[in-house]
Amino acid sequence: MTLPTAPLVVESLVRRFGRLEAVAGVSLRVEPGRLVGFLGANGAGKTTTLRCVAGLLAPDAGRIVVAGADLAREPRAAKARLGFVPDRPLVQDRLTAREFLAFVAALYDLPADAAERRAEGLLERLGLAREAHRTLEGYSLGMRQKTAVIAALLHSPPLLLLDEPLTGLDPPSARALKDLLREHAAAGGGVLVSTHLLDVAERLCDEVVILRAGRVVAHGTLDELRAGRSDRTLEEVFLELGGADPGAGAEPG
Amino acid sequence: MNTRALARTAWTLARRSLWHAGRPRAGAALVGLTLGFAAAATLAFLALFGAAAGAGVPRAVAETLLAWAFTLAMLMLVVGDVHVVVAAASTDPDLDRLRAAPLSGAQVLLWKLVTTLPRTTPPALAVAAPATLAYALVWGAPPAAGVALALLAAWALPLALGTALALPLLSLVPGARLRESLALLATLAFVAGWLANAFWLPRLPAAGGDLAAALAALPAPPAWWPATWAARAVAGAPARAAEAALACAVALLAAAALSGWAASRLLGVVQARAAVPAARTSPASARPASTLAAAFLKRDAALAAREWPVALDALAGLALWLLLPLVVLPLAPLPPLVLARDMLVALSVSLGHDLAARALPLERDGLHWARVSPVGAARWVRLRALGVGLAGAGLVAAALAVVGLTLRLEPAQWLDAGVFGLGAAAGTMATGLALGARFGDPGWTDPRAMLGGAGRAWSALAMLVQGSAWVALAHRAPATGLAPGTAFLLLGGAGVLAAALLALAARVLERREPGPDARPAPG
Repeated sequence: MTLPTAPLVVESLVRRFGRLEAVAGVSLRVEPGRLVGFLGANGAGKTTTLRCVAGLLAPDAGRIVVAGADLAREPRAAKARLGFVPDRPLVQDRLTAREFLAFVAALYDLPADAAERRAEGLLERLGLAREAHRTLEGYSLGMRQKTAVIAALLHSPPLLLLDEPLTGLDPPSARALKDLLREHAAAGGGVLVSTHLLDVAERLCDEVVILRAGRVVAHGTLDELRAGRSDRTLEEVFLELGGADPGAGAEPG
Repeated sequence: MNTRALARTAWTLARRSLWHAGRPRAGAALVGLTLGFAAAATLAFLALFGAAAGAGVPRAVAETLLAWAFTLAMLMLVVGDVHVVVAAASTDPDLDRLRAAPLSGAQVLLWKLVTTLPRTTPPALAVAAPATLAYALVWGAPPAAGVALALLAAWALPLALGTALALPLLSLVPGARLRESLALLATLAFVAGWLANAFWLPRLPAAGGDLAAALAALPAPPAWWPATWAARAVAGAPARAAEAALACAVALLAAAALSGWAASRLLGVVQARAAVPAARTSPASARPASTLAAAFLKRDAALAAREWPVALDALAGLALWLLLPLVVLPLAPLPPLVLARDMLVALSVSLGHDLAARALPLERDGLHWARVSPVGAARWVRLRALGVGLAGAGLVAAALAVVGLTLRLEPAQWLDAGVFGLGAAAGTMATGLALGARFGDPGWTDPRAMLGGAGRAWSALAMLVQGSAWVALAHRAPATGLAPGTAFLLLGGAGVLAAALLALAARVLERREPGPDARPAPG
C-alpha cells in the first residue's frame, strides 16, 4: 500500500531578522485531508513560518517539502502545489477581480476554459460574482480577502496556507470560506490556517499547532492537547501553552 | 500635539531610514548622493566665485550670482518637491491614523513637512548651502543670522507657498480624480523644470570668454523676488543685509500663516476626497490568456491604460528627452546623422528612467506573485522585459520615423540611427528594470517617485552615464554611417549587456523580501 504524500512537511525551520530569531527550529507536518490550526500569540512566528513556506521569505535553515517537492531544490514544483492567502491580500488593485483571477490562472498554467469555470464558481460561492467586473481598488478589505482566497484555490493545490483568512469577512462569507476549507480537506488536500479566533479553530480544525517564541510547543488533536481533561477549552489550553511572548510585537510574527 | 514626542519619532524614522538592523538602508544612498552633489557644487561655486574675485568684479555681482543660486534651489523645490509634500499630506497610507487623532490640518501638514524632509532638503543642501559656503570662503564670512534665514527661506518659502496654492486647486478636483491630478501636477512640474534646465543651462557656457564682462552683464533677479532677499541677507552691505534678513523673516511668517490657514481649511477636504476609492468597471469577459506571455502583455496593457497619468508622464519625458539635442543644437551644430543618433540616444535615457524603471513598481502588490507563484523571478523579469521591450522598440521606431523624415536621412542612415537607438535603449531599459526591482516602492503615490529618492538618483546617474557613453560613440563614429561590422558589434554588445542586467534584475527580485507589513520599505 502506498501512503499519499503529505501536503506539507517542515523540518527544523529557522528564520532570523537581524539578531531576532523569529522562527527557531519549527517542525510540523500536515497530512492529507487534515485541517490544521496554527496558533500563537502576536510575534510567535506564525506569519514568518507561513511566508517561508509560501516562498515569500527565504529560510536561514531547515527544510520545507510541499506535496513531495522540496521548496529549496524544486521551488517551481513546490509553489505550483500550494495556495497562499496572506494576512494582507496581495491583489492587483488596477485589475478587475475577473482580470486578476485570469492572470493568476495563467501564472499556474491552468487551461483557460477550466480556469474560467472554476473562477466563476468560486466568485459565485463567495458572493463576488456581481462585483467581479469592478477594479479591486474599490473593494472593501473583506472583498479583497475573498478575492485572495479564490486566487489561492483556483488551481486546487494539495496544500492551502491561510494567514488570518477570516479578517474582514462578514458572517455569510466566513461561513462559506469555512465550508470551502472543509471541502478542500475532504477532497484530500491539506490546510494550514493561522488564526487568533480560538473558537473557530476549535470547531474547524482537526489538529492544532501552538507556537511560542518561534518554537512549536504543542501539536496534536484537540483531545490530545486537552490531555485527558475533556472539560478544558482550547482557550485554556492555549493560554497555558501559548501564553504571551516576551518579544510579542517587536518584529514580524 | 506633543511636539517633543513627535520630534523624537521623526528623528527615529530618519535615523532608521539611514541605518537599521545592523545595515545601511536606502536613505543612506540618498544622503551620500546629496553630499556628493553638495561637494561638487561647492567646488564649482568656489571656482566661479574665485574667478570672479580674481577678475576684480564688485561684491554686488557676487550677490547677483548668489541670488541666481538661491533662485535655482527654490525652482527645484517648486517643480520637484511641492507635489511630494502635498501628496504626502493628502494620500499617505498613515493618514487614516492622523485624521482620527486630535490634530488640525496645519499640524498634519507640519508633520508631513517634517517626514518628507529627506526628499525636500537636497535642493537647499546641494545648491543653496554650497553657494553660500563658497561665497563665505571667497568673500568673507557673512552674518550667521542672515545665512540661517536665507537658507530657511530657500527651503520653506517654495514649499509653504506652493502648498497654499495647490490645496485650493485640489479641493476643486473630483474625488475620484484627485490622485490622478496629483500625478499630473508632478508631470507638469517635471516638464517645467526640464524646459528651464534644457534652455537655460546649455546657454551658460556660451557666455565664456571674458568672465568679468559676462558676469557684469548678468541680469539681477527682480527686487521683489525672495531669492534676491536671501542673497542680500548673505552678501549685502550690513544695513541692506539686515533689511533683507528681516524681509526673509516676514516672508517666512506670512508663508507659514498662509499655508497653515489653507491646510486648516482645506486639507481635510482634500484628504476625504482622496480616501474615496476610485473603482473602474470593465464589462469585458476576462478569459485567461492561452500563454503566459500573452497573459502578461494583456495585464500590462490594462495597467498602462488604467494608470494613464503614469503613461502620460512617461510619454512627456520621452518626448522631452527626444527633443533635447534640438534644444542644444544652436550651440553646437551637428550633421543630420549625428543629430539623429543623439536624439535616439537621448530617447533611450528616458526609456530606461521613465518607462523601464517603473515597470516593476507599477505592479504594486501584484509583484509579490513573482515569489509566491511557480513562475519565478527570472521568468517574471523576462516577461516584464518583453512588454517593456516591445513598447520601447515601438517608441524607438516611431521616433526614428519622425527624426528620419524630418532630417531627410538616407536609407542607410536610418539603419545607422536605429542601431544607436536600439542599442542604447537595450542597455538603459535593462538597467531600469534592475533598478525597479531593487528600489521600486509598491506603495508609491507619486508616479515620479516610484523608486524613492535614492533609486531615482541612481537611475538618473546610470542612465546619464550610459547615454553619455553612447553620445561619445555617436560623435566618434563616421558622420557618413557605420560599417555593417561595427553596427553588428554595437548591437551585439548592447544585447549582452542587457542580458546580464536582466539576470541581475531577476537575482535582485528573487532576493527581495516583503517587510513585516508585506510592503518592501521605500527607498
